[in-house]
Amino acid sequence: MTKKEYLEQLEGELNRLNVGDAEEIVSEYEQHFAFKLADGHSEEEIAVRLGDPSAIAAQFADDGTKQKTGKTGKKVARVVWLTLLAMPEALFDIVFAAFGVVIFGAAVAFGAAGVCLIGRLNVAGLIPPMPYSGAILLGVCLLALAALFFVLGIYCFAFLRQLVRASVRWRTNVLSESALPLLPASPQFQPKRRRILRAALLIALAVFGVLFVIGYAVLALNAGALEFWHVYGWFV
Amino acid sequence: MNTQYKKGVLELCVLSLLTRHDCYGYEIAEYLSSRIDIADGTVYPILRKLKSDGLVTTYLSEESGGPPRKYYSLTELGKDSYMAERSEYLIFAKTIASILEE
Repeated sequence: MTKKEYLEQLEGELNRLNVGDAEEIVSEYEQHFAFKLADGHSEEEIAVRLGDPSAIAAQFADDGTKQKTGKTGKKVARVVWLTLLAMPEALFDIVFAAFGVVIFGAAVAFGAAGVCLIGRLNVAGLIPPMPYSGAILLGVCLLALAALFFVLGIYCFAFLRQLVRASVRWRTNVLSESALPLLPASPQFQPKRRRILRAALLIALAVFGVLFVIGYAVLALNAGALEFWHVYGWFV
Repeated sequence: MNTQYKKGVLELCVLSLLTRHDCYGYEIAEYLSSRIDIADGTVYPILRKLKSDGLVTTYLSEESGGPPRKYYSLTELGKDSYMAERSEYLIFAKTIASILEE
């Protein structure tokens, strides 16, 4: 390596590592070359004796013990900060999980009520009296509502799962100073699965809405009153 | 010998040389590389670190003919630090030697 090559490589490495005063450092090595050349050494020989320019640049970039203690201090602060942050985060996750469980519970309850209406099952006399024409319509309507809540429940847990994964990825990055790509917080599905879920959601919503209106109309016509529940004596 | 291991000791050697008289960079590099097996280039990062730690200062001095030379000089902090680290190192080295010779 010639003097010129050596100094250029050194300066390039110093700039790449964001070392301050790169010019001043390079001029010091330039002087070193000058002294050695005056003593009759060749450029090649001097470059070899100086050592690999990228290794030298790395030594300038590494500010020794001072920076290392600063790093550990920072790391402790980060761990404390992340722990504090984890508490409200965990609370939110728990509440959200409970919300998801409630959604699934509602889906099961709506489904059971729908089956009872369609199958003319009157468990413990809980189903109020009504003509079967209205009951079957409302039964299917309730099954659609159950499907709707089931899909919502799936979305809830997919969202929660992704939220936790994104949080873990972010924490890993902060602690290890690595730069893994951050994950989005929104639920991630395979395209095919996402299409199926969306279709199920829309169909269930449509069936629920249409059958609710028709069921209401049938019952109201049968009873001859808009507030048909008074006619059938539901709340007596 | 590995560089990390040598680094701390080399700092002490530079301080020791500077307690005798102010030196310019090349002089220090020559002094150390003639006694210890290190690449000449490793001395300059050490000088820069000593300066950023406030143990040495620099000044430029015109020499006959050539370009101005950058001289390194110990600060008060550098002198105190040298005295403390010197005795610490000597005790440490003695202990290590006695362990290795057991």
